[in-house]
Order: sequence, then C-alpha cells, then structure tokens
Amino acid sequence: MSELAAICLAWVGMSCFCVAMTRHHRAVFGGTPARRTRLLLRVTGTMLLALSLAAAVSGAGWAFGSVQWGCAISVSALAMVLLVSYRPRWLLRATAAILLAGGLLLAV
Amino acid sequence: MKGGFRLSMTWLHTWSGLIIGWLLFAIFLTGTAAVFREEITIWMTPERGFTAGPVRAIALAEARLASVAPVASSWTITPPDARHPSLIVDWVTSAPDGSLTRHHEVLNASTGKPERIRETLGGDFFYYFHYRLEQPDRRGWWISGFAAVAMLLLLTTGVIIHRRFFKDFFTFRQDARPKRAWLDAHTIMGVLALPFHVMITYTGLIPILSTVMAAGIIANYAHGKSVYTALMDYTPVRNAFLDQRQLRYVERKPSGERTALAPLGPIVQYALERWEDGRIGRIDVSNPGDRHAVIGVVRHIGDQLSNQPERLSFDGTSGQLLASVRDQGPIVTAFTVMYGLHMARFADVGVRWMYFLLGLVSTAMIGTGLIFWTVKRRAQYGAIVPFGHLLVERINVGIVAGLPVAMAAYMWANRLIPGDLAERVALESRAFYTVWAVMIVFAALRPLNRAWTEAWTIAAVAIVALPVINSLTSNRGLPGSLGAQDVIMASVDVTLLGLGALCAFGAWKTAKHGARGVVEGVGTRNIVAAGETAL
Repeated sequence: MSELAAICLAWVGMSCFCVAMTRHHRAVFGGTPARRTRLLLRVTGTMLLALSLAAAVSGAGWAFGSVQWGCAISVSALAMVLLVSYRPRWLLRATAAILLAGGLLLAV
Repeated sequence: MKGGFRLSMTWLHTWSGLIIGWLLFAIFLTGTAAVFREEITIWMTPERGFTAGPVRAIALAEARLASVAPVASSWTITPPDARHPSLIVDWVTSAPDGSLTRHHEVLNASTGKPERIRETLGGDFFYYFHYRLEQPDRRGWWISGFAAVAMLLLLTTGVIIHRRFFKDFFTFRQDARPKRAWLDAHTIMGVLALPFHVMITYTGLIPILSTVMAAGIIANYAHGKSVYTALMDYTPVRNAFLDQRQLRYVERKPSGERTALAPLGPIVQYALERWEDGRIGRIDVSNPGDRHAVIGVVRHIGDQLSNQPERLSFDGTSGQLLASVRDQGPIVTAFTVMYGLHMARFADVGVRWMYFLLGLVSTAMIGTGLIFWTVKRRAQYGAIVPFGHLLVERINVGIVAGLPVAMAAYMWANRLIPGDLAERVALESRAFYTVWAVMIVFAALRPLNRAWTEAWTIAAVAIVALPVINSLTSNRGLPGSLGAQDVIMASVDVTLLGLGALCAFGAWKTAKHGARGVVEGVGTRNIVAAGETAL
C-alpha cells in the first residue's frame, strides 16, 4: 500500500504550496507570510512531493509508482482544497495527523 | 480572429462544451462506474458462490470441458482471481457448414458443476455503454471517439482561457456569489486533476483506435469494397486486420486425427514456475483432442501496466513449449501501455479507488461546466428568458441528476426481475433507458429550482435503497457481509450509501439556495415564473 504513504506525503506537500500563497496563508494562519517563509514553504513542498514519488516508486516500482504518484497528487490536493475552503483553520491539525500517519506507514 | 485569441478560445470552449458536454457527462459517469465493473457484476449476481485457488480450478474446468465439449474448435478457461472469484469456461463448436457456436458457463469450484446464476450484463453494461453508446455496429465507437477528441479540445482551450491558472491553483470560493462559486468548482477540479483528465481522455482513444482511425485499415483490408461500404459494415474489415495481427501466435489448422490432449496440470505448473510470482490469466486450447492442438497459457496482467500479457504456446499432444510471445517492440508496447492505463486492469485496491474518485471529479467538472453555462447566462437576461436557455437548464437536470437515477434503476431491475426470466438482460437495460427518459421529461415539467432538488432527492433515495434491496433479495446483505468479511459485496453496498449521501447533499444544497444557486439574478422567482410562461 505504498499509495497511502504517497497520498499522505502529497497532502503535506500540497498544503505547503497552498499556504505559501498569501490568500490561503491568511485564511489558515491569519497573517501575511514573509517572503522567506513563502520561499521556505515552496522548497519544503517540492521536497515533500519528491518524497511522495520516492515512497510510491520504492514501494511499487517505477511503472506502478509513477501512476500511483500522479493520482495521489490530484486526490490529496482536491481533498485539501475542500478542507481549506470550508474549514481553513483545521488544516494545521489535519496535516499533522496525516504526517504522523504517513510516517507510520513508511516505518512499517 | 474576432476579439483576440483568448476570447475566441473562450467561445470555442463554451459552445463545444455545451454541445458535447451531456454526452461527455454520460461517458465519464458510466466509465467511472466501469472502474468497478467486476465488483458490480458480483453485486448483481449474489447467488454466485466462492471458488477455490486457480490451479485446482483449472483442473475442474479441464474435466468439465472434456466432458461437455470433447470436440470443439477452441476452449477458454478463466480461473478466478481476487476481483473476479469465479471460474469461467467458454468453448466454441463448429458445425459441418463452418458456422460457429459459442458457449459460456460459470462453474462452481468445489464441484466443477455449472452454477445457476441469473443472466445479466452486470457491471459490463456501464462499460459497454461507456464507448458503444448502444449504437449498431461501430457507430457508438465513432461517436465516443469524437467525444474524446472534443474533450481533448475542451481541456486544451480550458487551460488557455483560465486567466489565473497558478494564482487560483488552490482557490475554491464556495461562499461567493453562485457564478463565482460554480466557476471556481469547475476550474479547481479541472486544474488539480488535469493530469488524470488528459491521461484518461487520451488513452481512451487507444482501445477504439482501430475503429476511430479506420482509413489505414480500410485501405489495406477492405478488399476492393468502397470506403463508404467498408465504413458502414466495418466489423468484418477490422476483423481481417485483427486476424492478421494474431498471426504472431502459434496457430495450426486441425489435422483431423484424434489424439488425447496433454494434461493441463503440468503445463500450468511449468508456466507458474517460469513466471515466478506471475499468475495465470487465461488458458486457451485450439482444436482440443486433435493432433494439431495448441495450448496457450496467458499471463495475468495484474502485475504490469501493459494490456498485452505474455503468452506461452504449448503443443497440445506432447505438452512441449512451442513459443513465448512477450516483447513486441517499442511501438506496440507504447500502444499496450496506454491501453492498460485506460483499462486499469493493473490497478490494486488503492489505485482503483483513486481512478474511481478522479473519474467522479472528471464527471463533476463536466457537470459544473454545464451548470456554469446556464448560471452565467441567466444573469444577463431580463424578464424574458429565451427558450433555448430554458431547454439547456432542463436538459442539465435530466442528464446530471437523471443519469444517476437511471443507473440505480438498472441495478433495481437486476434484483426485481425474476432470475429465470428469458429476456431479463434486455429488460434490465430497458429499465435504464426508460427511467432516464422519464427523468428528462420530469426535469422539463417541474419549475427549475424544484427540479434540481427533487431530482437529487429521487437519486438519493434510489441509490440508498439499493443496499436495502440487496439485503432483502439475497443472503449477502450489509450487516451480514461485513461480519462474514464478504469484502466485495460489503464495499459495493457501502459505496452506494456514500454515493446516495452525495446525492442527498446535492438535494439539500439546491433546496437551501433555492433558485439562487442555479439561477443567479434579481427577482429570481419572478424570472422563473416568467420563463415558465414563455415556455
């Protein structure tokens, strides 16, 4: 089930990209992000997406892993946007829980 | 170009989306259901038993075929797998005049006797509708091929006309004015699942390619027929082409001399050892019992992206390996991998669910696009709304909320039509079309704001009732199937409850917003009333 780890990591990565944008940062945290914060979030997001690909590929090989990753990014981004649109303040807690779940999945 | 590039692309996106959107919505929704076609088939034949492991199943199938069809032109054995827990045998007999008769049986794995299960297309109904559209000969394939190309056009123009592709990458202003919210919903689903939309649409052309791109095949295989005649009666032309492609397999004409067929057991064992962790997808025997019999063992494609499995051919009397066909060069591999990506036979539970969810997103993107078309225009009209606009609004309800009702009706019919009725397959699909037609008429007759709420309510009730009907008409109903770890049955029931809830949400949402949600503008109710009068 490498796709679950890929989904978790993609969620966190996409959340980083999302809150790197001023509008969503304001909705989630209430303040305007500094330039450096935004850059840092984007770098972290890129790394997490790469990690998500790595998790999928190491679990299922390049052929299946890349398909899993492609689907995982869209599924997690859509779910995350749904949460941010209706309950932006919950994003931090949800992401923490998902990060924990993803870490556990990787460890197992 | 009138008004510049982006404006003309907007025009193209808007109008081609309207013309082809309803068809695309139906193709995408039934295609999404077809992701779980095996599971739906199991749900629709609950009397089907569970079967044993593949090796034992193959021995039982062999015994059954040897007793019912010792002389045949071919046998096919499909052993059970996780998604498809049935043992299936097919065989073809030929009469002296050369005409072929096909036979099909589902066997019970513990006894090897045929099971008595109701006749139904099961989940294959949605699969076939999805690209054949219930048209004679190849017409449906051409229509769905046209729709796929139109979808690629819509995706391309959609990206071009989206002014804030990256700025609105994560933006869904659900609490904004309806026009804004509908457009946001449409674009967010389009943007965030864009790789899936493009992949599924482009690869969707691959399985029907030999029909959609007929010119080369007609030029070479029509044997002197005019292009028009060849197109109107295309199946034999295409078969001539496909037959030639099959020649790479070992094929031998029957000798007429009878000998015993080599036992399948050792051959199956050999194949399994050769493939290490590969499984057996299918076994086919040509001319069983003849000295020139060929036994083919086809690998299960669940462990590869490509739709083309490796195939081992054995001599039917000695059991010697004759040939192995696997690698076919980069062009054929590119074709079969794209084919496989669309069919998703490789997909495990996780990827299958993601295909299903993203398929729903594609469908919803098309649906929100259709609704946005009407919402945007409504605001521009005064008291008198053109008839064409009213028509579009009504057809939207009949397609977007009506099709789910029709799909549920098909599954209702499966349980309510007696299992031994002769024409029950035709009746099941008639239930689908009749209910869909009724929903379209219903949507046309009700006031618009109520039409949405009522259609969604009907859909919710019809879908949520399915697990209830299941527990009343079979012994594999919901609480029991969960307890017995009857995973497929329980999953279909739970998924239906979820989809029913989704429709109920639609009903609640449209009731809450009333006409405002789908008919933006001032004095909405008056406008609707005025529209009704104009109608």
